[in-house]
Amino acid sequence: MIEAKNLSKSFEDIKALDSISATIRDGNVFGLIGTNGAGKSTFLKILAGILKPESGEILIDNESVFENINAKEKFFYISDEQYFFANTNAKEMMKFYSSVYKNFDTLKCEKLLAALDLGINRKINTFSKGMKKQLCIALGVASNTKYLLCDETFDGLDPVMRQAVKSLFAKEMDERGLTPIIASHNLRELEDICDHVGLLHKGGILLSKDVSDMKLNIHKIQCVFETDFDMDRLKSLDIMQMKNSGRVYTITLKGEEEEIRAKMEEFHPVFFEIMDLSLEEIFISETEVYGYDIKKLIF
Amino acid sequence: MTSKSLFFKLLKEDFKVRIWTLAVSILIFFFSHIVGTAMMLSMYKYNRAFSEPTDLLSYKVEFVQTFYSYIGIKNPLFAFIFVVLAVIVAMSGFSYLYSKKKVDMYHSLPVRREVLFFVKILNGILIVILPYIVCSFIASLLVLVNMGDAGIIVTTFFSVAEWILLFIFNYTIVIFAIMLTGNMLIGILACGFLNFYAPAFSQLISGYESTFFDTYYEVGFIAEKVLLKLSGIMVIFGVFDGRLREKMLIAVVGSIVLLVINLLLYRKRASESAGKSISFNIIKLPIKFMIVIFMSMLMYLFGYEMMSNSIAWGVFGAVSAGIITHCIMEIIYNQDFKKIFAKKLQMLICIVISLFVAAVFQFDIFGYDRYIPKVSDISSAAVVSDFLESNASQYFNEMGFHNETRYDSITNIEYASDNDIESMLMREMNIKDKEAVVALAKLGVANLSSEWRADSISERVLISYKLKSGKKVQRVYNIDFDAAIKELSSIYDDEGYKTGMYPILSEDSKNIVSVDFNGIKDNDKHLTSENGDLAKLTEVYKKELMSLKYDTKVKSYPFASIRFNDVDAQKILDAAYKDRGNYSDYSPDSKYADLMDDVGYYPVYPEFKETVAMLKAMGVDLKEKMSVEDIDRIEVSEFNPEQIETYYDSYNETGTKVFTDAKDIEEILDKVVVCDSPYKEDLNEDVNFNVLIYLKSDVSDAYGGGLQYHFKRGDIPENVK
Repeated sequence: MIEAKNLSKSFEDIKALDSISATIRDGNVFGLIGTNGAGKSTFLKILAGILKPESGEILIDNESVFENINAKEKFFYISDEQYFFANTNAKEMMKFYSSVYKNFDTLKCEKLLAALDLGINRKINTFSKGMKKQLCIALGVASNTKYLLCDETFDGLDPVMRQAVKSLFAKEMDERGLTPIIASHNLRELEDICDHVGLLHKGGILLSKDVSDMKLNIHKIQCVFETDFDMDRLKSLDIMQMKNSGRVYTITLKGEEEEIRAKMEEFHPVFFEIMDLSLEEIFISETEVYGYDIKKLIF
Repeated sequence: MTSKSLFFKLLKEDFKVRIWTLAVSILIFFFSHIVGTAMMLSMYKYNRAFSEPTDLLSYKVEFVQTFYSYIGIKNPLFAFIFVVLAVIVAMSGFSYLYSKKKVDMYHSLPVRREVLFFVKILNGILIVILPYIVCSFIASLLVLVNMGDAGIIVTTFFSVAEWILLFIFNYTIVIFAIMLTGNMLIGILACGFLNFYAPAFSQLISGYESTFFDTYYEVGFIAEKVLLKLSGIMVIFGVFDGRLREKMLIAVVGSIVLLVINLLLYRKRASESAGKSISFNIIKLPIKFMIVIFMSMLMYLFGYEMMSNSIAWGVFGAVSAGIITHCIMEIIYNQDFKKIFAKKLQMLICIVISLFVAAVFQFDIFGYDRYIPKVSDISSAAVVSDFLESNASQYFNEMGFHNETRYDSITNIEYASDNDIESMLMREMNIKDKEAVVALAKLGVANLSSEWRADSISERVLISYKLKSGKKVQRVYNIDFDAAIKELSSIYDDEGYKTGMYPILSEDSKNIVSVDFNGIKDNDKHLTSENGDLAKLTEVYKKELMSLKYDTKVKSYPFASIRFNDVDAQKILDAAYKDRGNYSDYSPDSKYADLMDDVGYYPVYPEFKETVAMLKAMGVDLKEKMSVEDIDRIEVSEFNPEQIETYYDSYNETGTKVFTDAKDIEEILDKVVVCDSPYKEDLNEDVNFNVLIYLKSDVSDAYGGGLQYHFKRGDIPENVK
């Protein structure tokens, strides 16, 4: 488990993180969302032991990370712009990481590279941005660390490759309990992969919740009522947002799905259906509660 | 994975990344050592083909000597190569600290920073020294095969070891610069700062002292000497006058200290400092102050001297340099031109400090020139002046085998510079009569404000005090001889002065294995134990030298010189004689007396009666003056314009008067200071007249010139007027 307790970090006059506390449970995919400059990379760099926090601490399995080799052996950090040695190829990078990570699985890495169609002897400087990201993921997964810290790793991956990586993560989580921690400024990228999402804004955590909890409690329904339907009856629902186009209403509301379904049936609508909410919609709804216009924050 | 295996794995991986630096290193040493030596050998063989068989040995010796000079510690080519390589390998190893991308990768790895540090350090050293060692020994093997001298391997070994130490010292300096900075350009500037600031500041202070202090002594404060050596570049290029051991000591101690500091900085350095100008904010202010004040003070001096000692121009230089330098520093620190006028108060403080320091020197605010310590504060003192001894170099030049080559048949004299001699005398001499020294200093201070007189004989006098506090103080005065005779007498007659000046007085007489007597013309003799008791002769001479009074020294004239050789000196003289070869006109007795005659000769005064008697008893046919019968003619010429006007009538058009009459010659000989020996004392000679004595034996010699002497002071014979 990773615990961040009151983490603060400044760069000269700029406060990058301001007393952040968060818990990242093992076996989940943790998504860290925020605009550029929100502090996502700083958080991940502190988590990776690259930066030293000014105050607070970050613990990986109850061990402090900074300059602690035991803790550092438990993760592989993929930065938003990963460094590869000059004029080198995937094979050489593989050798390098295998000399650093004691559980590095060279065979697995070779298989992944082959599956991703990345030439093992091809010079990395001839790779596209997306290919470099894939290479990082392959190296990270093959290092067999408990945690994989990904900073904007999905940025640059095509949808097919994103799905492939998600499957890969799922497989690794299933087989050996990998915990990926993914930072991104794009909520849509994390929508169908994250179990838990933290929203960072101006160095502080605005929200940190399980996606399933959020999805269980927020629903969207589309319905059409009789013309003489008394709209005041809807007040018995915990409505967060309601829009209509003619007689077609789209309502976002809180509550258990069965309870909502039962109440709606009591209203005898002409038509109603419960629709899936995107993570984005959930976030909009949740953050509006705190008085933020989330669209301005992350889209 | 053990940390040991991780270390070597990382070493290997890092080596692969830096392979290009290895290629550079190999290329440099292949061409500079192997190809260079092959070219030298080729030239040697070409020249040898045109040589006489008798010259082959000297050619060989010369070649070996050239080779030693080439690979030796004083070759500036290799100093340059090692400085450049130090920068290349340090930057290739640690420049990742300048890139956020690279730092993120390296510092996220489960590797201790210390391990990473030593991997980078060690690889940098290996990349340079492995090709260097291999190429050096291949080069020495080439020479060995062609010259057949196994000593080459030993010399190469020493040279390699010395260069490696100097390289590592410079390498650690570059790494230090990298640790302090956040981008490569600033890192290179920091290298320049670390290498040149301390010596440049030392020179600046010396410049201020010599410009504004009348009694300033060249060697300066201890701090200046230390500052001068606080630079890898200065040490590796041998710019400061340091001995080999001193250089090596500085290199070893400096490397170790810097290695520890670099490791601490490396651990302390924040990853986010990559890309910034300076990686530790705490050093920004002191570095800025150091540079701005230095530039401001430099330009004060420049403006002052260039505009004929104008204080106004000095102030203009200081202010403008202070502003410009501060602006540049702020641009560099902030990496933003808009910050050019940031921190104006600090700029003002820097300029005020510079002007204050300049004023301290300019107006001698702390009374440097007039400072004389109290007698009660002085532990001991030393005085160095030609008034007291003008032949000091005889006792501080050293004969020896060639230092650079360690080739045991090549001898040389290592000449001590004036600074060396004075430094040694100031260190060794302990004059007990401190009152006399202080009185002499007071004369010097009084002389500062007095006007120069044409009729006075004045001379530079260096006074050094060792204070009871441990501090050392040196001052140089210009002192009038006539006014200072009493003080000079007290100082010369002091046992501490003589023991410091004349090493023979501290030498055990039993160590003397030979004595060289060097007299008028060929009146030379090499005495060994076969001629008599050399220890006794030495003791007698020491007693008479110690008893020699300044009054006698001033009035009398040494007619010969004497040298006391111990076993080592005799060995060197034997080797030097062998080097010189057997010349037919080289008389057996004078063969040693004339060799290396810039070293170790003491005066023989007529007043040294016991010494003279013993020398005669040991078979020296001692001549105290020239014989009239041997002289063909004497030519007297004089230079003083006033004298020429006075005596012009009796002289020819070139201002020369020739004497051939025996009576005239006799009269002149009585008044001439005749000393052909290495020890020469012109303290009491009249240098206005030049006396050239032509011997009958030299008349037939086409190149036989006259022997040049001077009259005794105040004792000009009537017949030359």
